This record gives sequence, structure tokens and C-alpha cells, in this order.
Amino acid sequence: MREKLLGAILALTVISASAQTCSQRLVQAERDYENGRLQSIPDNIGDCFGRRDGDFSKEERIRAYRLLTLVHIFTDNEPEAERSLISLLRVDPEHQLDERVDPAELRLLYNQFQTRPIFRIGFRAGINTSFPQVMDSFTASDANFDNKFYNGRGGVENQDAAGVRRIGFNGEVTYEQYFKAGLEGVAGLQVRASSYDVDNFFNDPFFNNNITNSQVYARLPIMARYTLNYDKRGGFQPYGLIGLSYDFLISARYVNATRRGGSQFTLADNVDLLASNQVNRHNASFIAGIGLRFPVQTHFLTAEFRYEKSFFNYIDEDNRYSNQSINFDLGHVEDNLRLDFLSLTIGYTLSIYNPKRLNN
Amino acid sequence: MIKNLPLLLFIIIVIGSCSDAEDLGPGDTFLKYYGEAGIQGGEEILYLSESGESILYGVQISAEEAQSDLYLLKVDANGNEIASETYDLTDTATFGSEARFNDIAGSLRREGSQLYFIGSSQNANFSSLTWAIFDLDFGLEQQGWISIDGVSLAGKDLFADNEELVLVGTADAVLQPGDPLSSNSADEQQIYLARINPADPDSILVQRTRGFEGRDDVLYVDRFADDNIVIIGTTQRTSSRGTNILVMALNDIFSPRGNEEISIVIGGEDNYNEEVFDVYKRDDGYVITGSSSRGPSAFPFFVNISYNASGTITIDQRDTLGVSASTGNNGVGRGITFGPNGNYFIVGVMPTLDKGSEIMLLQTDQSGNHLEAFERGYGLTAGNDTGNDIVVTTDGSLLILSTVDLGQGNNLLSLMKVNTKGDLMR
Repeated sequence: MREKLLGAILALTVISASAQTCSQRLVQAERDYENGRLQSIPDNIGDCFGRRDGDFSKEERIRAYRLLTLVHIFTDNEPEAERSLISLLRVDPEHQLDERVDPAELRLLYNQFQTRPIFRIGFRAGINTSFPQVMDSFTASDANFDNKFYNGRGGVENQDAAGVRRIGFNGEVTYEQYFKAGLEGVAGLQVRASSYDVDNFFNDPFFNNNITNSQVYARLPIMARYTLNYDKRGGFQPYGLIGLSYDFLISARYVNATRRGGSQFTLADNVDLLASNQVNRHNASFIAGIGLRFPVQTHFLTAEFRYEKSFFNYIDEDNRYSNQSINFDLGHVEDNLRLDFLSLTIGYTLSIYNPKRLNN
Repeated sequence: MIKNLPLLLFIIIVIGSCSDAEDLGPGDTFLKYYGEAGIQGGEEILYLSESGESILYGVQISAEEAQSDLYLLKVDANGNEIASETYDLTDTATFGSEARFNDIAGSLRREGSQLYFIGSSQNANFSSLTWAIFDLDFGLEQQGWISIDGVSLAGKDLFADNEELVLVGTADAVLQPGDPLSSNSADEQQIYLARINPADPDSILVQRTRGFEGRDDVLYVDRFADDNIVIIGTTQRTSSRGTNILVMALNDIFSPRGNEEISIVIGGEDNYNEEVFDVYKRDDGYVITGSSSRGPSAFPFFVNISYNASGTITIDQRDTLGVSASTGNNGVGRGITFGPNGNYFIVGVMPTLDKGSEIMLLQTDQSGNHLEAFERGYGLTAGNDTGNDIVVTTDGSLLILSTVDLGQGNNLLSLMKVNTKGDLMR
């Protein structure tokens, strides 16, 4: 008789539990945990994880997996405790423990797991402008006088350079790996389209010209990035970076050329500087930058300034005369110059997690 | 691979840094444009071997007075301007009442530390011979004119003969009885010769004309074989054979030396008209270039003449040079020099299919045979560009003076430095 009574009570309990919503069952499970009734908890909430209707919210999932982890710890079921903790970290990859609430056993287990992203993928797009750095000046005019001006800065007598500062566009995707102490390694692929203007003035103001030189580079930057308050949640986090880049020139063209003096000059349709070997295809750059990142859940929005200083001559010094039309019609001879760039990008960085127990 | 990327970048940067070590310095380029508004064209280039500097001269139309003046330009070894001057040398004393006088270029010679210029002072009605002496910085030391009432004179070349100047040019009248000039018409012209003392510019020591029936012209005068003077020009003395090259040997008072008057018919072609543009002096003779033309066809030519100790002149080579099939073999030689590789280089002008004309550079062997495939064209994509003169520098490069046509009447002087392959130097 007594056994029948207990069976009836248990059946009623199960029936009662199955009639509750998952949220109610989670609250009940947490009460059971506080009261030391651990054994029934996994069964009471276990089927809530897979149900489409009445399923847990994300916040409830986090509470439920944390609760299961604690139950399995305190029932000495370590494999299940680890599985529950991994599930918890999949739902909340950077789940933070609270020393005031979470027991030491949970913190001990937590610390044995990889809770940081295994890597991040960054996507950035933005604008750039170039700063040609002349190493050696070459001109069909008198080299003893300042007669060549880049990006519209300068002029002679009462005539300003016609050039303007050009804005280019760049986009990149990066692989980002955290090392330690806020330090990350960043490597990626960038495509940068840019252009600059140059004005040539001759001995007499009646003759001058303006030319726009355009480039498209595929670049492989590799950088070290340090972020202040790396683990801080919420708010802006400033960072700085330095690095190097291999730069491969995909395209280089004269896209605009005008001449003042004489009859109108018409630029040929396709002035390919790579085809005439006027420019060097390979280059490398030093990169320095600062930025801000703003956490969005476990991901980030970023805004970043970079200054990039190329190491080598953009112009092939053995072929600066290979475009006779530009040389003679415009009197333009390319300088030996490095191309430096200032860029501003905004981006979004995805954090990729793979929670697992760390070795040792 | 990713782990090795920093190392790879470092290696690339180190290698690139090594290859970029050469310091070119400013001004090692050699395509240069010079001039101001009104530049008409270049004439000659003189290379100062002791300094590497070059002196260019040409003609400029002054904007204020709408008249042509002498334009002098001095550049350093890198082609950068050192000094430039524009001189109005017109004969205001003689023709002071006439407006719009023009300086017409003849020749500029360097003797020691002085430059000797000869040309013409012209307007629509009159022409006189003009000469001037400058220092190497274009300071005018002396100038003078030779004007003869009723006669148009034009100065073409000169040389300093001790304290005197020997001047040659043209006159449209006979100044010495016995020289055959059938009439004083525009089609008739004699070679004019004069000897002056520049210290006393108003006095003419000797002057006379030489020539034949028809139109004679002169380009060049030089002293050779001790007491001989040679003049090189053109003559129509054998009118059935067109205008031909004339080489004439004279004594110091401009009388013929024996029978040394040679007419050279280029390539044996009748009815072609030769025009002489430049003479290169060798140790034992002269190499001459110009054009041999008939109708729309014009060919550059190469003539090599030599003289022996007694002053006898012989013709060693006389032939036209084919340019290219695409331009109908046309071209005009305007300047010639002996290159550092033992070949001759001729600069000039040749027509092109898609524009007016371009600067021409030809190379011949020592015998004047056009080296196969050595024919280079330079210039703008439109307009009429002309190569004017060529000299060899002490470093074995070739300096080419040319005139580039920007269109709408705007020209510039251009100086190119090329190697013996015709490639522009850096």
C-alpha cells in the first residue's frame, strides 16, 4: 500500500512537471538545486533543450546549462559536467562567472576550458588618400626650381596647380588571432584602389599639365594589434597596431591628363603603366594605425585610421621614358617616389568560438 | 605558411632595400623642354666639353614687338638652365625708320671664350647681315652690320681668323665684276664673302660675291689646309640637274684655288634639289647632311668629302638614306655628328602617317650606309616636330636639340640625351 502511494505521488509529480512550461520547470529546477534535490533536475529540464515549442530563451538556456553543470559537478559526473559547460559556452561564448555566486568547483572547471574565440574574422571597408614621397625628382623642366606639385599643393606665379587630393577606396578581410595581454596578430587580404594628381609647370606659365595616376593593389598585411582593456565588456576599446604588408600591383593607369598650352591634348583610352613597365609590380609597406572597437555581443564594430608607408619605388626607374606620349606631349617624367597612404575604415569583426577543454 | 609570412616579408623588404640603394639625384633625367611664349624653333647646339654645359640657340618672337629675336640658352650637364637671353640684333642704325625688324638665325660658333653669331636683320623690304660676339655667359661684347644699298644680304656662317672675322652669306646682286649673275631677280642669288676686323666694325677689309647663274647658297665656311678656305653650299649652275651641293675652295681674299669648285649631285639623280643643313668637320674632310627632294619626296643624304695636304678635295661618298617604307622613305637630315661607337648619327625630321612629322634619328656606318633598323622617331602625337642638331658629349652620349610643336603656334625647344641605341637616358 505504501509503495503504491509513493508511486502515485511520483506519477503526479511527473505529470505536474510535464504540464509546466520550460520556464516554470527551470525555476522549479533552480529551487530543487537550492534545496539539494539534484537527481531529478536533468530529467525535469532535459527535454526543454530540443523542443521547438516552449523552448528556452537564450537567457534561460544559459541558466539551464549553468544549472546542469553545477548538478553534474556535485553529483560527481564530470563528463556530463564538461558537456554542459561546453553547451553553456556555445550559447554564451564569453560567459563570465561571478565569484560571489558561482562556487569554486564551477570556477575550477571553467578555468580548464577555452573561453576566448579561437580566432576572429574582420571585414573592413573605407577610404584612403595618397601622399607621394618623392625620392629623386625627374622633370622635363628645370630641376633647380620647384615645378612639380602633387595633389594640388603648390603652383607658380599666379597659377595654382589644377590637381586635387584624390580619395580612393579599400576593403579587406582579416584573420585575427589573440595571443595574450590584449595582443593580437592580424593577417589578411586587402584590395586598395587609389590615385594621385601631379602638376608639371614649365619655365613659362603658358605650358603646364595635370595628370592623374591611378593604382589598384592587392595587399597581404600582417600586423600586431594591442587593445586597451581587451576583456572589458561594453564601451569603446581603443587599440593601436603596427605591421608590414606585401603589396602586389594589379593595375596602374593614367586616367586623366590635360595640357595647358598649344592645342588640346587627348589622353589615349588605355594607358596601362604595367604594360609599359613604367611601374614596379611588387612593393612592401610599413603599417601603423589606431582605432576603436565597440562590442556588439561577442563581435565588434571598428573604426580605424592607418598610415601606410611603402618601402620601394612605385616607378620603374629603367622605364620612366617608356610612354612617349606622356613624356613628349605633356613633358611629364615620373619621379622616383614611394606611395604613402592615410586610410579610414569602418568594419565588423566576427568572433569564432570553439569551446573545449584545454590541454593540461 | 602564415607562421612564415613575417619572415617572408622581412626577406622581401631587405632584398628590395638593397636594390633601391642607387642614388640617382635630381636632374639625371634627359628629356628637357625650354623656352618661353613665342619660341619659334631651335637652330644649333654647342657642347662645352670642359664643363659639360651646352649652349642652345634659336629664334623667338617677342610678344611686345611681334618681331623675331635671337634666343640663347645655356644649360648644365643635367640639362638645367644656367642662363638665357633674348637679343634684338636688328640693324636699327641703317633701317631706323623701318618697323618690325626680324633677326634671322645664321650660325653660332664658339672660339675659346667667345661666341660668334651671324645672321640677318630683315623686314619685308630689306635685309642686312648681322654679326655679334658674346662671352660664354651671353654678355654682348661687340656687334655690327653689313648693309649695302639696294642689295639684300643674309649672313650664314663665320669663323674667327686671328683678329679678323670671315663672314659668308648670300647677296641678291653681283658685287665683283665678272661674277656671273644674270639679273637682280628674286630667283638669282650669289654667295657673299667678307672679311672684317670686329674692332673696327664699320670697315670691311674684303668683300665680294661668288657664284654662278641661278641661285647659289651657302651654309658653312671653314679654314682648311693652311691657307685655304672652304665654303659648302648649294648651286643651280647645272640647272638641268636641279640644285646641287657646292664645295668651293678659296684663298684668303676669296679667289678660287685652281679648279676646286665641285658640284655634287646626290646619288646621280637628276632634277632632285639638294639642300645642305649641317656639316661635320673631320680631321681630313667634311661630312654633310641635308635633303634631296623633288616634289613631295625628300630624302636625307650623307656626303663625305676629304682633302689632301695640297688642298685637293675629293668626294668619297654621296648617297641618299632610305628612312622607312611607312613614311615613304622621306626625311630631312638637319644635324650630323660622329658618334662614340664609330658611326655617324643624323638627326632631322621625317613625316609620319598619323601626324605631321617627328624628330628623326638615323645611324650610319663610317661609309654612310644606313644601319639596318636603326631609325628612331621622337615627338608629340600631333604636330610637326623637328630635330635640329646633335652633338656628342664627353660621356659618350648624344645630345639632340629639337623643336616640338604643341599646336596653335606654340613651340618649345627640347633637349634629349640618348645613348647610341637611341634610348633616352635616365
